[in-house]
Amino acid sequence: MTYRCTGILLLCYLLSLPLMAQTNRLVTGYVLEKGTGQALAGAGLVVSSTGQGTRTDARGYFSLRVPPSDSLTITVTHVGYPTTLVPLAAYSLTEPITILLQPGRTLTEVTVRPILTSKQVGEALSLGKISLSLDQVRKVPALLGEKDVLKVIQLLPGVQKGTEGSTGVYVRGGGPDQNLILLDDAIVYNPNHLFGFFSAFNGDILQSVELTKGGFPAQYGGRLSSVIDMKLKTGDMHHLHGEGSVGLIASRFALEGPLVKRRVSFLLAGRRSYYGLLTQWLTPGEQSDQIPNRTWFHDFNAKVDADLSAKDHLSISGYAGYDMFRGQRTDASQSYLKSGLDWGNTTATLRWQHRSSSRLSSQTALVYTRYQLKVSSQEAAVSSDSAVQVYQLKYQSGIRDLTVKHDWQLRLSSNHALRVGLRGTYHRFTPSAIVETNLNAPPTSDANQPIDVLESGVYAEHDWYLGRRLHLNSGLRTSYYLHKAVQYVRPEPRFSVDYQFGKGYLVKGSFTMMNQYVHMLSNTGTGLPTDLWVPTTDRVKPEQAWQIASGVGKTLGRSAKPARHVTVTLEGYYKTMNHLISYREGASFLLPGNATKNQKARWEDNVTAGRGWSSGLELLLQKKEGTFSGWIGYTVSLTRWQFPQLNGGRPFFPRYDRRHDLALVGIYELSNRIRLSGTWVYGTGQALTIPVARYTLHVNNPERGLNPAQSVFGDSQPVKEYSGKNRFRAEPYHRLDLGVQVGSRKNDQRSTWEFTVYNAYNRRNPFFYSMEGKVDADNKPSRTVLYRYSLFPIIPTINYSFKF
Amino acid sequence: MNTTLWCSIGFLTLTGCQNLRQEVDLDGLTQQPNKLIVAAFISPQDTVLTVKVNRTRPIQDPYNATSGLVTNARVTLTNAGRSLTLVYNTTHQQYQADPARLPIRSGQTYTLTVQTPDGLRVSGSCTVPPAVPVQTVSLDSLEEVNGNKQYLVRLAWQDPPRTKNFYQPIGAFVYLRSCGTCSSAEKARQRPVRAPIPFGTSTNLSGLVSDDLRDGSVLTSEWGALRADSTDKARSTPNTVFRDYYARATVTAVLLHVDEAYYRYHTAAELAARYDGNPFAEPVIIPSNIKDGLGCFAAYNKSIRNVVLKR
Repeated sequence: MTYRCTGILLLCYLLSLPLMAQTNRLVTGYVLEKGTGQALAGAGLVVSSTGQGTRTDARGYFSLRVPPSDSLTITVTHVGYPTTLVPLAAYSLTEPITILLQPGRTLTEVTVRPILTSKQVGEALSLGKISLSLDQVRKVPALLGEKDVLKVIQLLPGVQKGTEGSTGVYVRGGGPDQNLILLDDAIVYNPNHLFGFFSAFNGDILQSVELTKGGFPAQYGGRLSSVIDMKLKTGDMHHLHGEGSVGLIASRFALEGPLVKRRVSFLLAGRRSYYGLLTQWLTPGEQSDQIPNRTWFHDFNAKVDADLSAKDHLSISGYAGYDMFRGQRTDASQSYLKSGLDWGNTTATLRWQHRSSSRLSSQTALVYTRYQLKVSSQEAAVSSDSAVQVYQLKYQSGIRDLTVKHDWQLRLSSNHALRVGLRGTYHRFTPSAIVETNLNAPPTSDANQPIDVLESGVYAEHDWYLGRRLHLNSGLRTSYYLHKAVQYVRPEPRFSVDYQFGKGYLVKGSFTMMNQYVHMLSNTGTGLPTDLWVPTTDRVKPEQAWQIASGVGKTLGRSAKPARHVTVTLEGYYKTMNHLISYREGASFLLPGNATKNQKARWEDNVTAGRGWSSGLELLLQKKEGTFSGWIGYTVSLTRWQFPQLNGGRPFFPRYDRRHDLALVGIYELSNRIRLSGTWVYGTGQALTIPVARYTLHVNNPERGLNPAQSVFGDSQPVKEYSGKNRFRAEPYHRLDLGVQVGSRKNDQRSTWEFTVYNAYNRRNPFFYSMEGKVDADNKPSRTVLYRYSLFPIIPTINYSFKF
Repeated sequence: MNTTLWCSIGFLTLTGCQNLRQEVDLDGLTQQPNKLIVAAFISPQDTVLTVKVNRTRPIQDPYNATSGLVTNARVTLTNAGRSLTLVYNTTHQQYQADPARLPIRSGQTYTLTVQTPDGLRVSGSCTVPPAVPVQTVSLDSLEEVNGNKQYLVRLAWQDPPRTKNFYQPIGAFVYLRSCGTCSSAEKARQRPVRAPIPFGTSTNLSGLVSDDLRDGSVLTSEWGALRADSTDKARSTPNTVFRDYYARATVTAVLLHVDEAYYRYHTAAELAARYDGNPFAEPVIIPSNIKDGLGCFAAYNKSIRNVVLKR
């Protein structure tokens, strides 16, 4: 019955879409980057006089209906490129036209001063969705000089960071597992290197990064709070290029060029840390009580693009990232201790894009994703009879996905666009597997069987521009989930509307419903690899959220180029989340053992479900281009959770609830060669659970039921009083980073020296707190004190990068 | 220029290498008022009513087992207009009274009030649940890897429907040791040995059972092993056939029908003991039903069934 209802709903939705007659001329073409020929996906094109417009697809292709006039001008916008006005009179419109945008160059100001259309205003104001300028990512100072898209995303309003230095992204009260992080359509489950201090993504080879935090398009699903969609750039089809950098902690290099000129290109990139070499050099040798570190991470990206015909494009891309931590201690006897912690993501995407006509195009993708964590420990000890006992423990958990995606884009008219698609993902989870081996005894294992589940979705989405001022986006996605006898079919309506009024004002509202069928269990919320991905089962329901958001925006400035304007947006949201899961009190990521003597322990024994609410107000003041650019982002928000089995059933603040969050980002072009940049961030402290008192706890002695002569109370135990879950607020976090980039150019070779100071005023920001005993002088009894552990003091960094 | 640059970098590096671990004194931690902690568990089968009273100690203060002991409180138990004051017993470090003066009855609600001379006053209430009879006691055996047999016992009972119920099954294996060489007089002097039967597991040591998701059904305990008492010096060796070990044996199966406060308090206490100090484990917050204080005032009722084992 549920299936039938959902099917009828979807059909009704499709039939309700209006089909409009066509009367205007059709203009088709490509938007490419000047110099490299790189296709620019998502570029906005608007007919200046009518306000009608479109966006380029992943190949940079567009089609646009224009009125029969000779004096038309199209305004082309794309994040990271100057806004360009293209007079159509210069082109013969019988063939597809090519529009070239030059990166990082400001074109001469034109005298035409068109009224901004709703599309232009909407893009400039970016309510609910933000396209990250990769050019700005490269200009913002970064920890140890490692440019990181996720850390720049953390500077945006509505997005909060996790602990010091981590790449954890918390969007509108959601946890880090509620972000759908896509790299060329492949989900990246653990987007971290080095315990979350660096993200898994190499910013040099990304073409676009889009963050959606509300008003989700129907094509996306499976996560509650955000979509971070990253696309790798296409290799240059004409010339060989390379770029790289040498930093304090890692180096990276990327090479791109044609395999078959104008038809097939390649892109190769690699990054390798040498942090482990430093620690190896600094820490003592193996004959020591200390465990020396052998630590490194690396990642590789590869992509091949092929234009099979004018209408067909094929691309294959892959990513492999790996982190490895090794420790070993050996003493004079044969005893030793070896420990290891490894994790890695692997993704591969095969994508075929086909344009059937100027109105209809499609995209098919086959995606593979794998994330795996391994913890190992091997200890050898000499027993009393001089035999060497070797004990080994291996813990493994992981997730592997195979996904098929297909999408159609149909441009019904210049005012109507329709997208329809379907996805199917086959997940295989291995929540945990522990194998204990004593080389002198048979091995024992406590492994959960792999869990196979199917997650799929079908969607339809419609864009409708009513005149110059009103834009409606409506969609319906239906998700389907199957795991053994457990199945769910859930419709997810999506709707957003924006309306332009006055001079450069825009008001927008949206409603979305999302379902999430895979969950992450986290003890720390810091992006540690011990975070465990688990599916929906008969005992764990899918998470569900609905969100309403509304905002108003205004562009300030008289320039014809919207990117040069200062934009102000104010947006509020309210979100409820049901069936959130969390560890039970006392639970840990390692299975506690057999739950009963008859049945094996299940990870579900460790979790409990509840609900959450989040509301907030976000302010963004932004200037994307010019001698001085940057933004101010401020968020005031409130997030609460309530779990029947946590905190005595009373509501509490999750760890990442943050009342105030402020980011100031400024980039100043001092001259053609020298650029100054700085960021200052402030955030309310995290909500933590810290003991405030101690007491002796007495329990009943049930044996008294057998023998009344027994003591009434059992063994007493000292316990800590926490006064409630997450009732303690850490100290506020604030930090100033400064950077100077000095560039030089010789022929086609560019090089840049960058000097960065992270945490310029050396603020001791809390990383974690710990209660520890302290012995004071004068033989006073020891007392317990609270220590704040900070991670990064002031860190100066020098970095060199080059491009040819 | 170069000298200035390198001096600046050197200065920044030196200032950065300060201690990243700092003691902090935060309001809210040192300003914690102390609270009273009360622990009392009553049942109709009680031979003595007992209450433990303690105070919390600020987390930074030195602490030992007798820290916070409260010896001068006024402890009162009331029911249906009748009240009983419990008196402090220095030997057992607890307040106690004779239940004959205020009998504990099934279905009755009792209120416990504790007041200290310095003005702290806390209270809690509980209702005594009815006894739930043990329906069956099942015996089974399991052959171990070494060929020995392990004898197991399990309780079953009918859960009352439409109410939340919680239980704690306990048991004892009471036996008279088999002694072929003993004289009649020696046999007459033999005293039965009592060994507890553990119905807990590694993750649920106390064996507490909830009827959550199984309301109104027949509930069972875990399988508990019959073992000779650990203090019995003549314990069976691995080669002993267990049933030849005793002359007479009885399994005493006891079912405590406990209230929700009892269940939640004891479950949390066990978790706290197991995971204290584990940095990866979520902190355990001990639930309390004591108004303005901490601890637990709970009730339970007992049913018992004896099964004589055949040889």
